[in-house]
Amino acid sequence: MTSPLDRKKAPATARQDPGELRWWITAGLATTYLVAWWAFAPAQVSDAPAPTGLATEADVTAPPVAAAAPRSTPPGATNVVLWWHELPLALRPKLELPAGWQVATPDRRAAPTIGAQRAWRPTAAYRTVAQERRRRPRVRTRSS
Amino acid sequence: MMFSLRAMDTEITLHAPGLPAEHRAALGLAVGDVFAAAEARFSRFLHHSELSQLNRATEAFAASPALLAALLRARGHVAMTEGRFDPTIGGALIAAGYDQSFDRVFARAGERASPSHPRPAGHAARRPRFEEIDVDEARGLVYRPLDIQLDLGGMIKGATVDEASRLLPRDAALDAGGDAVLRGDDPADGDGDGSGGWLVEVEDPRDPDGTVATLRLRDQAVATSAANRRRWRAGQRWAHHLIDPATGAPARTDLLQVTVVADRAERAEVLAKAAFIAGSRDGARLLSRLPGVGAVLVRADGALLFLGALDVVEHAAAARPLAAPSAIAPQGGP
Repeated sequence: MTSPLDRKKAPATARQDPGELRWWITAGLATTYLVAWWAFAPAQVSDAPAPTGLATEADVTAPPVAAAAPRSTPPGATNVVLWWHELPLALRPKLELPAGWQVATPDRRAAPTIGAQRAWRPTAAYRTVAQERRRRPRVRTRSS
Repeated sequence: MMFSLRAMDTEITLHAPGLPAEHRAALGLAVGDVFAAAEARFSRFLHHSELSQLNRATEAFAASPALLAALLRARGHVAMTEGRFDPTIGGALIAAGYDQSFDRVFARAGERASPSHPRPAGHAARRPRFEEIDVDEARGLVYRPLDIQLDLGGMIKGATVDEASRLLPRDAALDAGGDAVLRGDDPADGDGDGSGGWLVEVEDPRDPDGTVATLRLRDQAVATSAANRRRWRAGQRWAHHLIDPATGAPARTDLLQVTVVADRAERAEVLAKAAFIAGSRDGARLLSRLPGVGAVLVRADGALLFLGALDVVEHAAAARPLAAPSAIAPQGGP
């Protein structure tokens, strides 16, 4: 007969260690995931249109107007960025612009996205420059 | 580009763009000396000034040549303005509450809104006249009735601008709170429209930041009178410093402001005050009789009236050229 003390000192060879069991399960799942990814992922990539740097950049930086455009784009179309002025009036999203802002004009198309620019206002500096071109009164008569 | 100092309760500004900086500073100090000397002699707020001594004198007063000369010039101004300018309003100014420098009058307006020396009830104030002041030029003596107080404020400010302007170089301007002498051309405007002179803005009396007209002046002086600045609470009403000698009270007029262009600042100052007190109709008649005088009158109804020889560069929309005094509508008219 063995005492309880002796059983404690005996190596656990008959039972599986729980930590070791968790390691094997994790390794199995990881192997399954890798095999599945290897089997299916290449097929999806090959079906996608060839990515371009411009499209990727547009996806990242496109404003709400451009992001809304693909919804009305027919399947298979490659035009993922639309200019505001090229949209039919009925399809143009309604924009709530802050006071003093306006939609960029078509001649500003050099920019990669449709944007809004602040409406021009004459600044204090502009007025000062404009006034200095004419004769500047130095004396101001008033009651004192 | 400019040099400024404060004297006579007013900002004095010297424009002499063509002058080297060190000369401009020296000129500014000399101009300051002229104003300081005039204030020390003619201020009625300085106890030891010569004018204060005259106002306290109980017998014949031995006046300095400068004071005698000022009183003799004042006599001429009284005649020229038919009594609308009269230095004997000093007592009326005190009765209205203007008995010390205006900064102090304005500061106390909220706490004491009554005249400092109220007249007894039922006692009508006597209306003194400058003819009662006897100036003995030969003996240098001045005889003043005991109940008359003299005030030479605006006239002396204009006279001091004239005196200080003799120190100016050929192209320069001296501005004492709106009383200004413009000499020659503004050198800094060489690339302007080539017509020379100095441009002078006329302040809008309803808006200190606004301008009712811009005038071109060359070897001329300008002065403006209005009731929009030196005014204070007196009882339930507003009082101001432009006393009508005929009533002994702050003038009630249909004018908001009068600007006069003349050969000398003293003359412009006296005429601006007299025309303001007289009102638009009589004031225009007064000014139109005098050669070499131009004026801009701002009426309370918003009309802007031009009179006499003026080079008006631009003006506000409500302007109305004045061909003759008769063209002025009566007070309250269209």
